[in-house]
Amino acid sequence: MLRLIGERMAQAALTVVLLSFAAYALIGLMPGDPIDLAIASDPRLSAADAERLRALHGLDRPLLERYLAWAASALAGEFGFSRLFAAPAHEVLANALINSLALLVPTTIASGAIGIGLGILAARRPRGALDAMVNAVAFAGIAMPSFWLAILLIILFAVVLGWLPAGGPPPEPTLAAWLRHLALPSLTLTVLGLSAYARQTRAAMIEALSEPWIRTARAKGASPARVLLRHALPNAAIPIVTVAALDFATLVSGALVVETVFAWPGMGKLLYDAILGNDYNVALLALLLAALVTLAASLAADLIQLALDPRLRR
Amino acid sequence: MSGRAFSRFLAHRAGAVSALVLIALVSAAAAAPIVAEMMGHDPFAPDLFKRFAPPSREHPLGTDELGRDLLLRLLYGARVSLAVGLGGAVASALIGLAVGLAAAWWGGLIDACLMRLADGIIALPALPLLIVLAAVDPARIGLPRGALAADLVRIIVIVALFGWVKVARITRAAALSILRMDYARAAVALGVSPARLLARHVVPNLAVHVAVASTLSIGAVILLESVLSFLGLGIQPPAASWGAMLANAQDLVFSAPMAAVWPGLAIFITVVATNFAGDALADALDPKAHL
Repeated sequence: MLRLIGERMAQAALTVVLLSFAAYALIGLMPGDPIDLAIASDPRLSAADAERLRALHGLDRPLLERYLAWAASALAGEFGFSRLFAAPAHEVLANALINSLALLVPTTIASGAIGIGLGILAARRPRGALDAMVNAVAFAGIAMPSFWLAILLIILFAVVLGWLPAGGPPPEPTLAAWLRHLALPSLTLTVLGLSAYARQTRAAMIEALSEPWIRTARAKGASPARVLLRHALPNAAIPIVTVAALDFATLVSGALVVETVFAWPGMGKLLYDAILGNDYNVALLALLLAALVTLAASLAADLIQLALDPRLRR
Repeated sequence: MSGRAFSRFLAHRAGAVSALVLIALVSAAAAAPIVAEMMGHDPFAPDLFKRFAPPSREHPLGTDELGRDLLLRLLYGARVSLAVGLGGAVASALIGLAVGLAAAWWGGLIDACLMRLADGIIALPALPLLIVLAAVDPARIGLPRGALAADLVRIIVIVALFGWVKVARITRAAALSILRMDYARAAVALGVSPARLLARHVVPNLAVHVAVASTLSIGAVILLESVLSFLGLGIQPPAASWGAMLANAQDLVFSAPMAAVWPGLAIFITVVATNFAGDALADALDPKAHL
């Protein structure tokens, strides 16, 4: 167990180092470095000035040298300054993370609860009417582009009915304003997210319900609800938990599109804005954080599997 | 596809209907220039006197924010989506096939390195990295910028960089088990060269699995292209792409809400159809997998 955690940590550390270098190199290939931007905003800057500025900021050094300098200061807790937001990069990121969690935690709980519930109901009678409906919903969840669902919900609730705002952060920090502005993005993510839960739960429950000990439980007179929830569900829980951990991790960065459509100032939108706005320090930090969350979630999924299934511990 | 396999394909009702939908879509996309000729509109020329025209005989779905015919732009968008979907799936399959065969054939350190690389790619947050890759300025790595063909190749390469992993794993597992089979060992005993062994004995026997996995991945690739184009990093205007059409439509939901419905519906139908067709293909080619 400890060995597994150690191995995974080492692997994760290596991945983060490689990723940070790859991201550093790639971001350097995006259009417009800081000096290009300075030239564009001040036409009086001569070529000699630009060279001097490049040398001053170390931009004329080889890539590896620049990367090592960045990594050294990052390890010392110094992540640089955000160009777009005029604040330290880690502060910008912390605010976005809070906004993201306000959106993602309720969304994950809702899509998990609804998806698992639908999956259990569908597994009760495979190929029944309810099963077909759940299948259709789950299928739509995979095939529907997230931004299209978001736009359709905006058209329905903001344009036609006029009940909810079409997007943006809450104008004042009251609970009602937060809820109103969170409603549409979290509805979009819930609808898209629950399909994975429903499919996994359905498959795992159908498998568990075909086991001989389910027949035994029925034979000794356990009620259908008890068979479903006490005997089958715990055995079906392992794949479901795996989905939940990985799903939450993808959401941290994967909500990017939905956050962008609704102009919700979370991690995903920050990452997108930072990449497009040449905000290197923020983009790098956000990418690394997203990778760390993904790696941590897959480790967490493994550990939960170990905790749930004693057979794996040997 | 043999006659039996074909009848198994048709037995998958949704798959058969989806295949028809896809054939219709491909023909419509191929015929887009002819349709444009017949309707007498240019889907790329703005006509500011006809912005947001409602559906009419002349413009069956109306016009967009620059007065361009929506139906024609949808058809031209289908060309992009289908080209990227097919191109991305084929490119991923070729890379995955090569990596999987290399890992299975050489084994040892090469196998370990390639498979750890695959694990690493799966563990990464895909969407942000794809956006970084898509935002790279092609001119900085010495490639042309702006042309539609260059954009298509760029997106296909980006998709393939992440898409090969699944095919590589399938290929590696299948190749390992085939190499242990009697016919493969008999071929080795007969002194067949490694290249011929892989080309004549291994690849034909795992091609079915790769074909099914690749068909099922087309939908995901099409979704990915639409996301990148929606974010402004995919196909660049004035070329038409469903994702980019939706991005324009989002700014106009209050004035022209229907413009946001059609491109999304097109993506949705195409992705559903490729998924069902992939399912039916799996039933038809690989009946054992579903027993």
